[in-house]
Amino acid sequence: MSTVDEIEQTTPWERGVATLLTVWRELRSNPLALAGAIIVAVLGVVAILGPALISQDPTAQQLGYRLQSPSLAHPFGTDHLGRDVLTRIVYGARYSLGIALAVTGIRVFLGTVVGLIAGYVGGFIDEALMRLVDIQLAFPGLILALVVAGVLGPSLRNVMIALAIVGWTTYARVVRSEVLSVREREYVAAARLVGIPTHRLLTRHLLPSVVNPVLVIATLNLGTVVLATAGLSFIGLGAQPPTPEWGTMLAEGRAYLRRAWWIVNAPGIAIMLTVLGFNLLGDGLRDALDPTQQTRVEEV
Amino acid sequence: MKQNPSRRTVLTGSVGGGIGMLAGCIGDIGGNEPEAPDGGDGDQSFVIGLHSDPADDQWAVYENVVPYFTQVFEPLVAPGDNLEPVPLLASDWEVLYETTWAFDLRDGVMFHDGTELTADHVVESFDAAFDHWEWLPGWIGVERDGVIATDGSTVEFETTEPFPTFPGTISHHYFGIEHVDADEPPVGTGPFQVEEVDPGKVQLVPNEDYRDGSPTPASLTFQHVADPTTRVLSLEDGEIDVAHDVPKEQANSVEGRSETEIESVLRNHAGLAAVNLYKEPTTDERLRQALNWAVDQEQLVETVLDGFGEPARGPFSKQIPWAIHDELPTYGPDRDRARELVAESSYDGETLSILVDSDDADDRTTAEVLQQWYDEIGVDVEIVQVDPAAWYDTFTDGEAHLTLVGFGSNSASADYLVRAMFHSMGSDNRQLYQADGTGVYNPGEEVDELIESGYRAESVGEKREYYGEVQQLVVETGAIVPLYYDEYVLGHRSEVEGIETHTIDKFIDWTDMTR
Repeated sequence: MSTVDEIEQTTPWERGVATLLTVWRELRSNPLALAGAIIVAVLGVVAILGPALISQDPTAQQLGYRLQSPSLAHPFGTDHLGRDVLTRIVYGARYSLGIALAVTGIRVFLGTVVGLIAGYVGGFIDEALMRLVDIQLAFPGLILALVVAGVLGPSLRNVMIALAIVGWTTYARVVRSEVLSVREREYVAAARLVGIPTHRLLTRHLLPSVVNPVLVIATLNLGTVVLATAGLSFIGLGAQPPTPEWGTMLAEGRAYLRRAWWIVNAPGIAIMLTVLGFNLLGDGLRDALDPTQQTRVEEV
Repeated sequence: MKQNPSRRTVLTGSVGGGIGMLAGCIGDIGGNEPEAPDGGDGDQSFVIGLHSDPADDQWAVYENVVPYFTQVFEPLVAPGDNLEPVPLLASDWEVLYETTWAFDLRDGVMFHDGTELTADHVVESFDAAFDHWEWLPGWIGVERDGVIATDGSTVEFETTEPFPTFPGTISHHYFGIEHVDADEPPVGTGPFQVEEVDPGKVQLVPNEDYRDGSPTPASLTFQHVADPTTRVLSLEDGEIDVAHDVPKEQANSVEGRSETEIESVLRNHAGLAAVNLYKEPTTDERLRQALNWAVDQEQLVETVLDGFGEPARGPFSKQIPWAIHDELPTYGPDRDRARELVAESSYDGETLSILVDSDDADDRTTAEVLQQWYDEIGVDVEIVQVDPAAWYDTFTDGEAHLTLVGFGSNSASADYLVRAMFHSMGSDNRQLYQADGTGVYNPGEEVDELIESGYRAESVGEKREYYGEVQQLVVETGAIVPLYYDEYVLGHRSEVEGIETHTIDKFIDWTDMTR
């Protein structure tokens, strides 16, 4: 059986299972990566199921109960408007993780498409697309996101757009370099010779080779997107009050730091744990899926 | 082979770096590290932490020494305790003709360099101000050539129209008199003179020849400490002796410590929501009144201002002599009544916008509280935070249904406030009024005429009559939602005494400060 046939006959499902097994082996042998995975899993469960389990409204004010320290009734205390901080943290997890997934998804899509086209087509198209990437990389990511969010106006949707616009270039570069190395291999050449259509060649022969590095970057990226979203909300460009987004909660609680430490510490720790979880997990994934350590940490 | 650092290395480095950066930031907030005063019981040198920069190049006309707070320059007229104009460098003034004012200078006033103050100095000082701020004539009603020295000790001002509140209008730090041609400027006549000016810091020493006697402090250092928490920490650590503008939410903790105290003073400043009279659906008076019935000003003062303020009934602080706070109606709070009015109004579930300056934490909190109350009466509200640089334009473009604003005067005359706010040609409304005959929260011709009459009125009683009617109208028609009259909080070390506060914080008197 030829190499082309072997690949043609390996289903995406089988390749996915093989990847998962590799990841699982790495997680078992790497306690830090396992800790990261557990943190991410817990956050995921909190984001998905938490709001259904909590009866309180995250925006409901009880001015008579403002600045209450942590207690059984309010395990994370209340904020300056008497809102339960735990409830807001739980709802905030949904915003933070949801945005991180959405932004990273858009980045992966854009970067992969651009990288595939540039790497496969080559020539002028490759040059043009890579110079576009260079130009964008010349701007500091967070500053560019600030400008875009500032121009579009303050809202979570605009923060997502801003972060997605500035972060896809790393994916494009990695995907392009993977495609450049793979497209010259014999099985790809053979696939061309036997007349496999281009779209099938891209999706069945080239795309699978970029999955692992992209997955590693994306995992590392999720943490930085959580951080950047919180940062932009902190300065008023992201979520608007009374949305229980962690960066907004930090901004609102800052004035009460000395009087009610729990208002800023709760979202601060939540952000820290989330970023830590994604970073540890991403580190483990890189060890498992990208042993040559080609992927780098995104700045934004 | 070059290898990327492991995640662990990056993480360890990031945490270490983060802690280092945090430490650096805490030390750096505000741009200037306060210098610890010497502090002994007999030491009469004081450091005052200001939220604003005392050496701001916006004040190049005073060689970058900001006249607010510093008492280096004195105007001809000062705002008195009840915000009435009182003589300072002028001993007296009178109206010669309808538009001509004559100010007699106090005898024997000396500049810091030993030169005696004359009428020519006053003219030169006003000329310098006119050159620096080209918009001044529109404010004080005097053109650049309208200031004339008629003899050595009398200055005449020619106003473009009758302007009875002219003396009060110039009782402002913009019109502090300086010796423009001094060899070593800046030179004023105030109780303190400039020793050194550095970025973010002004050091003063007493004017030992001051006409009321040399001030007690051996030196005063005004220091810019922009971050409020850093300002409070600096006060508590003894790095500064006085902290201006202590955040209200931290005031009680400052008061609770044995080594620090606070003083709070009701300012001539009011916080309110300006309601757009020309944008659907707040064009409906019943809806606007409903928005008023929903608000509990007392609770707002307790929560947002931590009790440092008073519930407002009108658009002007009760400290302003012609404000009619006691005569204004109160709306509620009565949310049942508010719901009825909403039901009667044309409101159909639209989302109203509340515009907030994103740098103003108190306004943001106020907006959140209003949002909850309006939600309770069935009115949907979104908060729109806008960068301070764009906030005023967004407001005067009429883009929001409600805008949180705060207004106060830094002089004895607050006439310009009522004009700016409610006259169709006032600065808040002019743009839209000229463009399409509307505005933002200017009720219209009747109010315009009342404001013009009040502007020309010669006595406070007469002014109160006209401006009182304006206040009545804007409250009754719901052109505003009154929120609070604001207090400022001054923190100082417990051993510091003798600070004489003023309704206008920029006129605080430090001359008798001791420890």
